[in-house]
Amino acid sequence: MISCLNCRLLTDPGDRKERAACPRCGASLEPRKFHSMERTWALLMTSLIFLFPANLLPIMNVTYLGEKTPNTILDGIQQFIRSGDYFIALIIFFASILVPVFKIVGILLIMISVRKNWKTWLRHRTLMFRIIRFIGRWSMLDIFVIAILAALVNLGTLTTITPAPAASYFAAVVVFTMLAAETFDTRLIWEEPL
Amino acid sequence: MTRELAANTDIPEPAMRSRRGISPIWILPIVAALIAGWIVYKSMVEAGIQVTIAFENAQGIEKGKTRVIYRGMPIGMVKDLSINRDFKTIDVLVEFVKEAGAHLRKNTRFWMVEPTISPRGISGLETILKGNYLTMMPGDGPEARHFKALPKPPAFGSHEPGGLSIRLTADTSGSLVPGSEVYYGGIRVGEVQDLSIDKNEKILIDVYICKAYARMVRKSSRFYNVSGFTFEGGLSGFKVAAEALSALMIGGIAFFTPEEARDAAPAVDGDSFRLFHDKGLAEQEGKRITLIFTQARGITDRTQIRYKGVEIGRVFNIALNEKRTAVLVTASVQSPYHSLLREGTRFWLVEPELGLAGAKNLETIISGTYITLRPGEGKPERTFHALTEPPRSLETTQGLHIILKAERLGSIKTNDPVYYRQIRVGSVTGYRLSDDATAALVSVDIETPYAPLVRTTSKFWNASGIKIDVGLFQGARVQTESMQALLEGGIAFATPDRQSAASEADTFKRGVLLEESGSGKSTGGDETGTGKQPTGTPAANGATFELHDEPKEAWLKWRPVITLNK
Repeated sequence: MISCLNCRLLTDPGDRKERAACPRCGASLEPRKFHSMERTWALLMTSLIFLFPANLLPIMNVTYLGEKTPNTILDGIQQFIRSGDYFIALIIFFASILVPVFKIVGILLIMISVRKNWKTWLRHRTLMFRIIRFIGRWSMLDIFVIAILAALVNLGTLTTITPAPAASYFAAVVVFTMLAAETFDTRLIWEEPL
Repeated sequence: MTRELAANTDIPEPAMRSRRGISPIWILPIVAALIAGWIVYKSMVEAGIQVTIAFENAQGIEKGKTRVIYRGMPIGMVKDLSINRDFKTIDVLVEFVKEAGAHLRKNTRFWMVEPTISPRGISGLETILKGNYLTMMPGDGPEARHFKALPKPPAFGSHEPGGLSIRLTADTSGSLVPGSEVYYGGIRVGEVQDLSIDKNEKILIDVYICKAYARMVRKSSRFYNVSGFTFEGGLSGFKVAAEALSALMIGGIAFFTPEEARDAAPAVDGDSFRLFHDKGLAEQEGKRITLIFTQARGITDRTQIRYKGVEIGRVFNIALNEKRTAVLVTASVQSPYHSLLREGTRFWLVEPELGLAGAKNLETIISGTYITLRPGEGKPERTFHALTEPPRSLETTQGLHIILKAERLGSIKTNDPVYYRQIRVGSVTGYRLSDDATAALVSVDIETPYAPLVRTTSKFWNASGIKIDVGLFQGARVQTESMQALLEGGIAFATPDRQSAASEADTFKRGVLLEESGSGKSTGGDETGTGKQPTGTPAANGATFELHDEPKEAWLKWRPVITLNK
């Protein structure tokens, strides 16, 4: 029995070796996502690599009175804490630091558990995966903040905010973790090794 | 099922291709790794240069905020601050851009730029908003990574090497501060760097002259304080002078090179100069001389020394000597006039004199008394005993010097005139008591043209005052020499002609007083004859005559013909 990944129609391809297609939507039917583990690994590695420049390089340049100050994500959080905006600092910390790290570590953990064939905490791992997929989109918050700031705060010499290289890397981290979560087939968690 | 089929039949088993080849998805992490590797490589290549700079005071330096700006361009950033182990300096860790590495040499200097408001203007204004920053001045020497920051910005113009560092010594700092400017002809050429006091309690002023003007400073240059303004006033008007507005507020130094010393060698680093209190003193500076006065009445530290009316020097210090018996007046005489300072030179104070006959030296009432001198001969000398009044010794003039012997001095004073036919022909140069105290000796100087008038037979009398003869039969007779002589006193003399002398002898013989008729007749008769020749021989220098209290009638009638010297 194969569930169509597109329209969730349950079909029975039987023992046929040839590529089957969903009779309802025409999507190709696969028992599991195609090369799920391999792709997830690759995407995860990519996002892991990008995580470093994203956090270490400045994410935006604040030009205040002609003086350019590069700010990394952590710098920005520090500034918010210093100015007393703990809530905003918390949100940015959560969305920009905690979530990407949590996602990458979470997926990594699940992948290792599948590879090692651990049989415990199955439900918890699935739950974690659901959370990872849910919060993935919120990580883009930082990028949006920068985009809006760059557009709004453009007062020439007085104050200007421009995105810095880390913004791209950070966006890449978010995109690749989302893709990694997408390519991973949760059913592998439950599957008995062949 | 298929397995059974394969086992049971001869159908060849298909070659199974492993599907586990490298999926193209792995390009992504490879690309990511490449990017990350490139970033790492770039940051390594462009890694800054870490340098520690020790500051005495790190106020305003912020970690990650304060930058090193050179020529308006940020070239470094403060990465860390830590207090030195000895708790005396703050080590500031600065990361410089790679390009700066070659310029971080031993003599590179760093300092903090703070906003300053001075009469020169406002500088470092940008630091008010952006915070202080550090800046540097490249130097030479081997490359270094540890520096000591300057406590204040280096002197004006010192960013270009080749300037001149000199030291001035002064008694007081005036209102000089580090940063006070140095002017040459009103143009800013340097700056005061530091003030200190040496062990002799002199003020040492370190001055930096920037390169372009270093050649203006000669070993003979003179520096003077132009702080504030100078005010010179008198009845003829006044003058206020200030070098520059900024000198007025933060003090300044100006210098010049005296005309006669223009070709002196250029000054070199470390040369020491005296800082004069004002321009006048600097201009006067020459040989120091000490004049010993019995009292300093009228002498101030601005009293001039004049020779023939020209200012040749100035007094700058007046002090009592150790025993408090005399006044030591220290003065300087300008270098062109040093030849006047010889052993025989006499100095005296010229004061206004008001007398019945007129006023003398009236200009000193306005300009102040001054010291004048009469040059003498001898070896160069620096200490002089000043005279209490103008010298009246023999050598004053080249005229004929004679001595008159009088019973009493009467009202004769130095400089009293000597008249011949009521014309002034000489003057009294002095008087003293004779050695045996029996007479007053008056030395008289007869001006050269009139010297022949004095003959061995000449008669001198005191022309001072009024003579009133009251006789029973002849009534009263008032007789005076000139009006000036009446007021001022004086001496008159007459020289007899042969005729008169003869007739006088005759008269005495006869005991009859001849009235004018006799002489008048004879005068009319032989104008150029021997009778009009003067008697006696020309008086020698130093000849002594008797000074009579009053003239005899006959003396007034003598009219010898005497050819005057030209």
